[in-house]
Amino acid sequence: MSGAEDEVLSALSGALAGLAGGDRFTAAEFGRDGAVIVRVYRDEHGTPQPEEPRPETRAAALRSAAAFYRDLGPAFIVRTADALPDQLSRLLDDPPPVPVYHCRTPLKELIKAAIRTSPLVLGYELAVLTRQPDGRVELTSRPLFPVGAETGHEVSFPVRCEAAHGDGTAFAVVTREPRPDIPPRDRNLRPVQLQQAVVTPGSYQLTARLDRPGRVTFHGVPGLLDPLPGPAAALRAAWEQRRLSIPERVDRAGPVHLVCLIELSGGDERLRGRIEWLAKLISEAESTTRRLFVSVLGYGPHSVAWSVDEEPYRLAAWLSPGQVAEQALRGLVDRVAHEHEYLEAAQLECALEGLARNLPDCPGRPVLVTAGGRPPHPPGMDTETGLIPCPDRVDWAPQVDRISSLGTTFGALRDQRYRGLSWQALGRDATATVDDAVDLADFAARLGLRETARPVPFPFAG
Amino acid sequence: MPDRTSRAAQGIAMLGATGSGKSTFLGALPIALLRRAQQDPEQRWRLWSRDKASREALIDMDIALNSKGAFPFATQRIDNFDWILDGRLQRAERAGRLGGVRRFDERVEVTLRLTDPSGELYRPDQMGQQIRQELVEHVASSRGILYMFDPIREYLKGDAYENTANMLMEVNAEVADHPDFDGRLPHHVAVCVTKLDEPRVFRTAQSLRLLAPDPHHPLGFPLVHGSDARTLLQSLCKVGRSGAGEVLPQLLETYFHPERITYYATSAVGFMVNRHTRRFDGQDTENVYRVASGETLVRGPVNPVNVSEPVVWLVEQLALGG
Repeated sequence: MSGAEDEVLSALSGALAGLAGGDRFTAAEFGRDGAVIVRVYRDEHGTPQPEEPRPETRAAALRSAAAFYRDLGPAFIVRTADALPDQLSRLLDDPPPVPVYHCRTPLKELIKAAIRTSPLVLGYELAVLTRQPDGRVELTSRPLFPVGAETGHEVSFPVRCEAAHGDGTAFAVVTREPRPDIPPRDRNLRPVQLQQAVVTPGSYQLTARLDRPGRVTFHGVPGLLDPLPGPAAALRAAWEQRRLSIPERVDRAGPVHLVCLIELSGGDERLRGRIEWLAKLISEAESTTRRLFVSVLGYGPHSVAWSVDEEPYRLAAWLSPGQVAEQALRGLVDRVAHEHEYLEAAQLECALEGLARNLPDCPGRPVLVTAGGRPPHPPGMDTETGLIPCPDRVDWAPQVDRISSLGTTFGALRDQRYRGLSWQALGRDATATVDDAVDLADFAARLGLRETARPVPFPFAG
Repeated sequence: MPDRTSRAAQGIAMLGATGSGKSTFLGALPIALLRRAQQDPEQRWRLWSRDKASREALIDMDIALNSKGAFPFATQRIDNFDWILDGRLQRAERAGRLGGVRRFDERVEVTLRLTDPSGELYRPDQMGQQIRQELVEHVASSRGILYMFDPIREYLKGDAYENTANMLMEVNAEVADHPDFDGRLPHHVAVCVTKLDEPRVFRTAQSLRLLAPDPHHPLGFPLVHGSDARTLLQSLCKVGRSGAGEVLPQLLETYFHPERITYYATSAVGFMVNRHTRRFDGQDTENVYRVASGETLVRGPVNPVNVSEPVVWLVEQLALGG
């Protein structure tokens, strides 16, 4: 850059530094092809903005030197050519009342460069949400760049993103309305820039860099789109739309404990069917944003004869990640049925009793899904059903009550031919028959397995 | 050595519908007699046969039920069983002119014959057929009858009265011209209300307070006294499908001398014995269950209830009758 340009830039910087509130300054470029007149003002964020006067104003001002200096009040003139049109030469005939710099670089470029390096006059902040102790959500801001910060200023800090609308999470640079009469935290936020990213909920280390006044670049969040283009009005509309979509409360989606109770008896084909449905259900549950624990218990019939060994219910997985539990579930196909196995009932009541005993110590909201057919053994002799009682005299109904008292939701994937009170209770929230097509998405939704958090349009302060 | 030997060739006949448990009853009889001897060494009875086919059937039935826990359906391959119940009875007789009593042991052999193992001939629609006539003649010529009443069949089908009435009418006709006929059939009848271990039968007895604790039973089985067994029969008949069975005791007591009828609540396989406590469990009494093959199997050990008792009672009556 030549010394002349430095002189102009210095003059521009001085002018920008002195620009406050609703002030403006004007600079003019006289060149071979005519005059370029630029007025600079600060917008609501304090960002210098160049503009050209209306054509009629410009035309009127260029009619005479008196009108030019009176109406436009230029701070200085940049002359980019030795030979000027007569109209402009006349404006310089008398010694001009403002400095005239001889410089080949167009004025607009010089102004742009001066604005780029000008320090901020209002602090920039990132719009973030905070969760109040009562669960309410409040829109606030986190400082990015203080007053006086210049291009290249960087700051890094954690943010946490929750599930958002289809537009994604908005990363909005804002300033606060300069109202000294209002405490800073109560001053309105006004958008400088708005960028969006469709991100997986979670924590991110966000880095913000000041490119120039009015322009911030973010790093550390994948999938960030370019800032929303368009006029300031469009930006404000987008900002308002997102601000209004902030939920009043965001109750953090707690972990879920999906317990799969699967009957191992009834034949290989049936067992494989149950395994497939449960495996799909685990996948459905995993697709949500909350933490998922999965337990798998397999059960068959009690031995009702002395000649048949008792085979207790089998714990295949306990509080495992979904994939581990699914593998364990698929490993249950190896059961070999005893030829003298009892056909009419299964030890469901004992598996429920084991769950009722152990579930209270487990993390996560319990969701119990039972896949099977045979009813539980009754606790005693039952002349209605003729079913042989449980050898340990366990009654399924109180076990279901105990499990229910933990806030459990119940789903049943039962064989079509089996009904009865036990299956009604076990399928209280969702029931499907494995012989028919199962709408697993709906089934999972009824159990709260697909329940997503309310969309949150802004990140939380990390 | 016994002092005397008597043979009652006229023997004992069995009557009962299909599925009433006649074969199972007979399959359980050997073990029942052994358990009887276990409790009272003076009561040593054995079952055997001179006929090869009947002997083989007896062995098959005994092994099937007691060793394999299976029900002795295989016995249906023959139409008649001809067994001998062999044991000793202590008898007394007047000795000398002073009226003293002399006691002696008498070896007794009684024929136990089952002519209709499947129970098909018991149905009235079999009337007039030659083989049915043979059954009628066999019953008429015997002096003791084991009458098997199946409460579950009565509940589901309710045909006990019809079957029994028809059969008794035919037997009555067969003996009516006998010079000794006094208007009633001369038989001693042991009425067996079967399947006491079945929950519905057990609960009925329980609800009627007919079950009494038996402090001497090694497994804690309850018992139904003979006098209560008739009440149980009548109650079970009342809930029969047809309702006609309610007068079954009266029917029997009309055709036979009432004092020659005794009632037993029986279970050929006995009550289920809890595997852990090795005792009777009032919440789980049934000792049979069905498996995938369709077979019905015994769940625990076979401990017959009132299986030897009606047979020995009949033998005693026949021996006393000469």
